[in-house]
Amino acid sequence: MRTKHGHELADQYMRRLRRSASTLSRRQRDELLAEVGAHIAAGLAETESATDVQNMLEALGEPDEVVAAASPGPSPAAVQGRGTPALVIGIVAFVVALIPFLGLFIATPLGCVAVIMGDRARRKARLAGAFDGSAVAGVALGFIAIVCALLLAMFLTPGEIRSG
Amino acid sequence: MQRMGATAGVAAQLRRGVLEYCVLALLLHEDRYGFELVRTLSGVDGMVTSEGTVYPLLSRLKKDGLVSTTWQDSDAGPPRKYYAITAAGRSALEQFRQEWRAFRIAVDSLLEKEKD
Repeated sequence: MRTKHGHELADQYMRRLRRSASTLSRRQRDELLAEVGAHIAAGLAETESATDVQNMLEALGEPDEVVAAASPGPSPAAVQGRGTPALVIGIVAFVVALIPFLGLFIATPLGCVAVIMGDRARRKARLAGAFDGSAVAGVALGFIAIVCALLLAMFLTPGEIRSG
Repeated sequence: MQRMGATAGVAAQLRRGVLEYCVLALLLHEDRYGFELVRTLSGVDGMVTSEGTVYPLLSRLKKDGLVSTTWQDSDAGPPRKYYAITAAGRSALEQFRQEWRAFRIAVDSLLEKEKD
């Protein structure tokens, strides 16, 4: 079977690396992906057995770790508080989610924004070796807001139809 | 909001400081391509734990002008990017060699004293 990087496992690894590398500058990311891609190609030229490929990818290390080595290295203090906007949006989304109807149309998109922003901030903090509690809280609240809004809409809609 | 990663081992911290000079030393007598460099490094016990982290290091060395790169055709497969040490790289390595010698002697003397 023909795959982009010569092996299914290699493709998976490169996808994970690309995702992790989203925090790097475009130039750095392209360079890193090209180098690691060439490394994998050179390894695959020697062997294509699944175990050997698995070992080679394990030796390369976790994508997050590889990307961390490429990061210019912001201090843990510099990334603290990056999750605050996500937390605020998460709280607003959660409150709005409790309002019938308004909740579904406003809280769901807001919740998505909180999850995405929070996840980005969490990743950035982790790369700098820190843990951003507000980013994680933002992600969690965003999820809860979406679930609440959906549940509320599900329970309320039949009643409204019946009474209407 | 505690600081994570502070548990990184002593070996990892030591490695971080010297790895780039080990790369320069490997390039002193011959040009090497990435895969070959990485394999040689990880063949030395305990030198590299995650091979992928060598590539960011190589691009930093290039940015600092300590190594240069050229593309060369290979007998099998796509062209390879070869790394070569520059004059600045040589002098950085020479400087490190001296520092390392003094440092090793200093640390050894303290450790030996500890034993008595």
